[in-house]
Amino acid sequence: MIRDITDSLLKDRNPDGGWGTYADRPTNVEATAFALMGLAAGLEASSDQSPAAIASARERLFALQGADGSWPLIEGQAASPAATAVAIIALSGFAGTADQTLDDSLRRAAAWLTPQEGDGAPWVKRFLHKWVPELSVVEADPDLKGWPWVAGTWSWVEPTAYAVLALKRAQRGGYAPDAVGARLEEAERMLYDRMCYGGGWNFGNKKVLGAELAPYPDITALTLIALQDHRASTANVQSLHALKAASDDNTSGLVAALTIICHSLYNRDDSAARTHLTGSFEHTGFIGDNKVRGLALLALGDHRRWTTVVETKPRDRR
Amino acid sequence: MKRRDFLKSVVATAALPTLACSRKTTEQRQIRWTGEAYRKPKQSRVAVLSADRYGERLEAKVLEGLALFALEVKDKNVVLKPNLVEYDPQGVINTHPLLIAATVSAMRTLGAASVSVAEGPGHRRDNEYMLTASGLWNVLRDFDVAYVDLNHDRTRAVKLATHFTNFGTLQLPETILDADLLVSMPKMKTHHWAGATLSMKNLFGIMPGSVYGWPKNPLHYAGLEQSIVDINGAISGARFAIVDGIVGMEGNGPIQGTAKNSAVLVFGDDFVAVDATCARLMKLDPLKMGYLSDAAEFLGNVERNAIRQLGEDPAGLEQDFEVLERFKQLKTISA
Repeated sequence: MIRDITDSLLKDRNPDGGWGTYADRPTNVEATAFALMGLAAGLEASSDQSPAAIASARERLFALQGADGSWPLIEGQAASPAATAVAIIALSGFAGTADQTLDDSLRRAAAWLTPQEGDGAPWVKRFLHKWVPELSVVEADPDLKGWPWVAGTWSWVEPTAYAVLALKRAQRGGYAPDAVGARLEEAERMLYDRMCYGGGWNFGNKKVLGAELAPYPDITALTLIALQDHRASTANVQSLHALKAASDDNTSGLVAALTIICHSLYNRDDSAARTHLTGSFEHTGFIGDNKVRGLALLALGDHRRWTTVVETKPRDRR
Repeated sequence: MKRRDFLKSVVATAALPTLACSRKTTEQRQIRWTGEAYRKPKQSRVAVLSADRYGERLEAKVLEGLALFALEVKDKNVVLKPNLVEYDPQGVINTHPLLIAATVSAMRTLGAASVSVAEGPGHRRDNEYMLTASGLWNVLRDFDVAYVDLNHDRTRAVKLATHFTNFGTLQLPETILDADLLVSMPKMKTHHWAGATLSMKNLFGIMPGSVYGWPKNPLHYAGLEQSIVDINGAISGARFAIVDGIVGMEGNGPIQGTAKNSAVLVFGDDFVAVDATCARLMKLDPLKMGYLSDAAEFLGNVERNAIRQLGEDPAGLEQDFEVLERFKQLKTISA
C-alpha cells in the first residue's frame, strides 16, 4: 500500500513541484505540505523519486510564501491562516539543519500567523452570551478568538487547531515571537470552549439554536494532536473517547490517518485505525485526494518529526 | 431598518438593458441588480409528480418529468448538483443517491454527452466519508460517473450584475461555469436560517471552500439570503431543477430536522418558480421568504398566476411542514 500511495502521489505532482488537492488541480499549499511530509516520513518503500520530489516541494512552498511571511491556500488568493499553519508544520520537520532559507521562512511565517485572529462578535452577541446565554443562536464565547478560514470572519476549530500546532512547533524550534504564549493561551481556551458536549470537536459549533451538534472524528483527532501537551486533562480524555466512538462509524482515509497520529501521540492502540486506512485505500483509493495520501504516509511513517510539541505541565482546563 | 421596510422602486421595462432595480432606504438608494441580470420569464412552468419511494421506477419518473419540458439534453455536458451535507443514514438530509442514479441514467438515455456529479460540502471536509456514508460512492462507481469536489475545483472570477451583497465578483468553479446544463437537485427541507432550502439555496454548495472556507463564512457575513440571490444571479447558463421531495425534512433543517414523507418530485427550469411551488407544497408562503421575494424581482416567478403547473395538481400533494418558531410567519399563505 505504501508504494502504491507513494506512486500515486508522485504521478499527480504538478509541474511546478506542488500538488493540487486532486490531479490536474492548481497547486494547493495544504495538499503540497502533506504530500511533502508524507514523502519525507522515512518509509522504506518510498520511491527513488521521492528525494527529488521532496526538494522541489520545499522549493515550491518557499516560492509561494508571501513577503509578509504568509501563504495563500492557492497561488493568487488572499493570505490564509490555515495554509500558513500547515506550511509551518511541514517545514518545521526540516528545521535544525542550519538552513538559512528555512529558518527565515519559519520565523517570518510564525510572526505573521501569531497576531492573526478571527472576527470579534458584535456587542449584542457578547451581551447575550454573558447575560442571557439561552437566547444566543450559537453557544460559544465570542470573546475567545482563534483563527478563521478567511480573514475578517469567525474563528473555526480546524484552522485554529492547525495554527496552535504550527505555533507550538515554531515555539519549540525557537522561531516564534514573544507574543505567541498569550496567543496560544487564548486559542486553547477557544478550542476547549467549542468542544462538543461529551467531548470531541466538529467544524466549530457545539450547539446551535438549542440543538447539540456531534463531533467529527477528523477534527477531533486534529485538535487532540494540537492539544497533546494537555493529554491528561479531563477534556482530552473525554475527547479521546469521543474520537473512538466517532471513528468507528467513519472509516475514511482522512480519519484513519489522523487517528493513527493522534493515538500514537497519546500512546493508544491504533490497530483499528490502521485497518481502516488499508480498507479505505482499497475501497476508494482515498478518492484521489493528495492531502489524504500524504497524510496516510505521514501516519505510517515517522510523523513525530512534524507532530510533537514541547511538553508542558498537564493541566485540567475543564 | 428591515429589508421588508425598504421601498421597491425603479424601472421601466423588463427588456431595457439599462433596467435596474433598487430599494430606497431613508438615506440612500442602492442598486441591487442591473438589466443584464434580468432573466424573469413572462410565464414559468413547474411540474409536480407524485413519487412515494426511492425505487426502481425512479428513472421513469425522472424521464416523465423531463419530457414535460422537452428538455434538450442531447450532446450536452450535464452537471448534477445534489445536496450533500452530512452523514445521513436515514436518507433525510442529502439528496437520495437513488434519485441521483436515476437522473444520471435518464440524462444518458436522452443522449447527454457526459454526466457528472459535483458538490462542495460546507461543513465536512472529509469528502471520502461524505460520499461513502451517503451511499453516493456506490452510485458513482456502479454508473461510472465522475465526481467533482467543487471545494477544490479551478475557479474563475465572475463579475456580478446583482448587488445584494457587496462582493462585486464571485469566484465560481469552472465545472459549473462550463456546464452545458446545470441540474440543481436539492432535498425539500426547512432551513433554520433561510426558512427553506431548495434549488436556489442548493447553489450555496457550488461555492468553493478553497476560497470561501468551511463553512462558507464570508457568504454568511454578507447575508445568507443576499448571497443566495447573488450566486443564482451569477450563473447564466442553462439550468434545470429536480427537487427530491420524496422524503423531505421539517423542523430544524437542514440537518437536525425530522423526516417528512412528502412523496413528490418537482421539476422546472425557473429555480424561483420551482422553489415557490415547493414552498407552497410545504405550506409555506414563498412571498414571505426573503430570497424568493428578492429573486422574484428579476430572476423568476413566484406568483401563482405566473407559474403554469405541469404534471399533477399540486393542491392534492401539499404537506404541512413544521417550521421553527422564528419562521412561523411563513405558515400564513397569502399568495
